[in-house]
Amino acid sequence: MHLYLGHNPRTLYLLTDTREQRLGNLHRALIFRAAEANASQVVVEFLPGDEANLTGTVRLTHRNVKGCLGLISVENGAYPYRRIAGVYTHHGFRHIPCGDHYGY
Amino acid sequence: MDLDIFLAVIITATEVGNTRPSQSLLERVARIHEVQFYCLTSSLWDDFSSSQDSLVNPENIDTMPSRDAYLQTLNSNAVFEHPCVPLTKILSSGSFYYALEPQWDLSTRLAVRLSRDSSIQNDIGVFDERFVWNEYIIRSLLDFREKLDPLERQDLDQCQFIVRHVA
Repeated sequence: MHLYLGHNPRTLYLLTDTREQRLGNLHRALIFRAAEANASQVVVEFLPGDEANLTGTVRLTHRNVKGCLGLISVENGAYPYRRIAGVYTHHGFRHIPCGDHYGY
Repeated sequence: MDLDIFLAVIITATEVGNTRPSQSLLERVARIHEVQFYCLTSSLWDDFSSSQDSLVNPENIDTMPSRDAYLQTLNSNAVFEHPCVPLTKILSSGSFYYALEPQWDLSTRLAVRLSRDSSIQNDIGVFDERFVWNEYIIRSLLDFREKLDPLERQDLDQCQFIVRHVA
């Protein structure tokens, strides 16, 4: 899959690539952007690949991304790491308690 | 309060073996070599040094900005260390693994997996939390996945956007 960056609003797009589609995988996009209403929450969309608007985006790495390990938030560019408070989608929202320190 | 949100992605990994070569369904394992964190909230941490010749989307090649023009618009304050450098080093140490096939759970012993109800045997939301190191940061995405309808969830799993890794 490939990783793209879009602006206004700043958005990250994970998109399956043609090689994966040849292997039988689907053409899909997982899209992330920060929620406007709450700085610690993220809007995520899962869409057919051809519905992802990549106009004006740039590819962040030429290598094929293998997958996503998760989302974290960092306060003031410093530790500790925190789990993000939740993920909004157009399907609804489920609150996840936040404030736990991230401990590797 | 300034809060930056980062998406962690696996950039490079190599297959290291198949745990059940006698089975028709593959259960391959890959070792993670490089993980990167990309910021959702700020361009301050953007680093295109690894992208070089890659800032091209072949579908939009005529409409996309040039790399140079794009870089000029970025905040060039490079004196700060990326806040996820410590995590990047740990996760890119070669000590972490993940399953290449989404249908099998690398965190759970085979006997336990075989004894599971067939309805959850291929469910990526079912795993042993003791061994999935990114459980803490993947949880919100797994919750997102739970809210999808069953067909969408199946598609999401098949694409392997969400990865659980073990040490």
